[in-house]
Amino acid sequence: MNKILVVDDDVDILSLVETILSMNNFDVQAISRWEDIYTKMDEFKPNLVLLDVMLGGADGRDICKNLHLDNKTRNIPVVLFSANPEMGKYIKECMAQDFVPKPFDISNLLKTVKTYVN
Amino acid sequence: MLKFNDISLRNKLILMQVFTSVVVFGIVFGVFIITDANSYKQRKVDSMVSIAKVLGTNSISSIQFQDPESATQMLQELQTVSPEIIRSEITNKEGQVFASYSKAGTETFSIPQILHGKSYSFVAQQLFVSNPIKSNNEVIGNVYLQVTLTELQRIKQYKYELAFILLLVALVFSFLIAVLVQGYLSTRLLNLVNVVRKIRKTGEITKAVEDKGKDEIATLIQAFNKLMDEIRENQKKKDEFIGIASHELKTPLTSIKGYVEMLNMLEQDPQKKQFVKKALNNINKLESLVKDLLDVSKIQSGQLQLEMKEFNIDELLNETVNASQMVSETHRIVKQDSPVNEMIYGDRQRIEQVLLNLLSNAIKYSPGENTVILETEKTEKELIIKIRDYGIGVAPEEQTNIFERFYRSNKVAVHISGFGLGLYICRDIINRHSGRIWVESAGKGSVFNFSLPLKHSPIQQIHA
Amino acid sequence: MVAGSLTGTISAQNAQQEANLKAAFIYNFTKYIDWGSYNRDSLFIIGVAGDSPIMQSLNAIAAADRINNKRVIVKSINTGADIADCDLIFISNKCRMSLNYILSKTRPGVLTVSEQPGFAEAGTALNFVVVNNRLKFEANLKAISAAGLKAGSQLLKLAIIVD
Repeated sequence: MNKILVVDDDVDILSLVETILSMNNFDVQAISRWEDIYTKMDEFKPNLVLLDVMLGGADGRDICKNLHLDNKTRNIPVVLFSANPEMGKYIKECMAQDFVPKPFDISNLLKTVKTYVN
Repeated sequence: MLKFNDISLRNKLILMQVFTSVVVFGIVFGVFIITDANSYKQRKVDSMVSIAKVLGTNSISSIQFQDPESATQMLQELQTVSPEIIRSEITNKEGQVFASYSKAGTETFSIPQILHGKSYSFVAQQLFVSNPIKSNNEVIGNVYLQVTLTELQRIKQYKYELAFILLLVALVFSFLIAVLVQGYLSTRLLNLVNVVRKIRKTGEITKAVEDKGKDEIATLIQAFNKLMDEIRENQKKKDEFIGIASHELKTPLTSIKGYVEMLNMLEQDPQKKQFVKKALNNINKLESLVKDLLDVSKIQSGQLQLEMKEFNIDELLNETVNASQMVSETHRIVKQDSPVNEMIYGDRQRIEQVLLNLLSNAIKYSPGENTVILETEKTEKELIIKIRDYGIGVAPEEQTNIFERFYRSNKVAVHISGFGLGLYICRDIINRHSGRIWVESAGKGSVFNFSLPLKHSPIQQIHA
Repeated sequence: MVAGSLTGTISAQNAQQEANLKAAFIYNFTKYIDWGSYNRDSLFIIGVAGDSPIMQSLNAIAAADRINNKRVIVKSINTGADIADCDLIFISNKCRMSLNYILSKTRPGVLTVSEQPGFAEAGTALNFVVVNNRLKFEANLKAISAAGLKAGSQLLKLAIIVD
């Protein structure tokens, strides 16, 4: 019950988060191409999605909305991830659970993830 | 002293129109009255001369037959017909008075002397007329009349009063018309002025009402709107840039911070751990600076938005004290014991930002000391939060300046790092909450205070 | 035209001055009498009955002025025949003929002027009288109209009307 899908187009951040989470005993998959997200959701069936907003070609908020509209994925919690602190306001609108700002404290990240991964 | 330029546009226009009307009407009436009086005088002269001629003709025989009584009787009868003729005289060709009549109480003086040879003269509210009596083209005598002009006076008086009343009526009318008409000019301009005022007050860029005319006001409005468009474009570009810049800056920062934090957790070697910790400290400083820059830019462009909700102030105070304590090794943050027990209406995150900033300043500016105290004071209307340090203090002449953008005190010997933005941002946040922020410092140490209105108090405003 | 004092007082004057005044009056009378269709000749003839100093006065006037734009001739009336071509007759108080005789010889178109009390009533058109030391004249309207003449109101208003 601790599968996390991480989506971010910056490969360094992606591998950073992947490392942190797996060091904390989470089952982590990380993708940098947002187009792969839907197939990955099917395949991996994560318990939580950590989703970057600025995805170079797509907006994480729209993806989040789509996930929620899709029956297969609507129950999977999504946490938004962004350097823009204003993104916190959009949580409700796109039906995400929470928001982690970048740069993040590792402890803050872990706390948030642990809260929503169930 | 009321300067003409300071009167509002609307009133200036009205004043101008009313003034013009009054002047024009005043001149017209004045001219009218004067010409009227003059034509009355002329008519009077003409009629009196006619009377004198008739008198003359009718007194020829009296003179010829040396019968003054008949002439005198005629003059007396004249009185009843024209009572304004208060004195009449018939002289023979030698100039001696042949017959005369004067109303009781009239002074007797020589009329010919007054006339100085003229056929009529206006002297002291009276008209004097002279007409020769001719028989067969020979002058056999002269008729003199002295006419009182009180009626003229009365008429003039009446006309002046009438003119005055008409002038007042004209004034009222011109005022009413001016009020109606000035709207055409001033409304368009005032609309523009109101838009400008609104922009100054709220900082929002709005355009003025479209004006498709061709006159100067239309030109002004069109130029203004174009300017506003440009400004908005620029703002958009700036905001986009800031958005992009902050994003771009934060992205590598995220990696750096994350990896260094991990290193911090993994590294056991004390010396290496020391290195890593120093790196981490500075990464945090960098992060803080980038955040401050972004905030300041938002404040400048009026885009700093507050999310106002009710939150428990005690919880927040405890959290922030703990958080600050966790990163400080040199200082001990002491929080007073008594809880406030109040819900504050505000942006929790931003108030947290203020508290963290003030606490970190307290630590930063008291190197060599080790205590920072956080106290609260509650009044009926507001809650005051005080953060006290025992550091270098703030000189009296700087106590307002430190809240300005980029202000860094140059009075301290020690170099204190930072952009000088923190207090500026704090002040903006606190002001938006309808509170006040200030410092008290007398030499050693300082107390930074800020107030927040309490829920039920009248100064609470919805302010974002 | 008025010799003597302005108001025509008689008392202090000598006879000649009085005569001059009366002559002036007579001259002015003519300005107010309308001879109508009478008096078509080119001369205006004044007849004086009686040896009166007014003869001299009238001659002086005749020398200087015209009456009705005609040259004035002054002659003395001694017989009834002299009356015939006069336009104006002055019956002086030195006249030896009787008034009735003169009046009977007078044809229409002749203005009769006298200077004795009662003569206007007796039939002359105009008669000089002295009232309060002032020279005035009576007017007999019937006589005037019987002579076929008209007198102007400006004259009549000054006259003492007698019938």
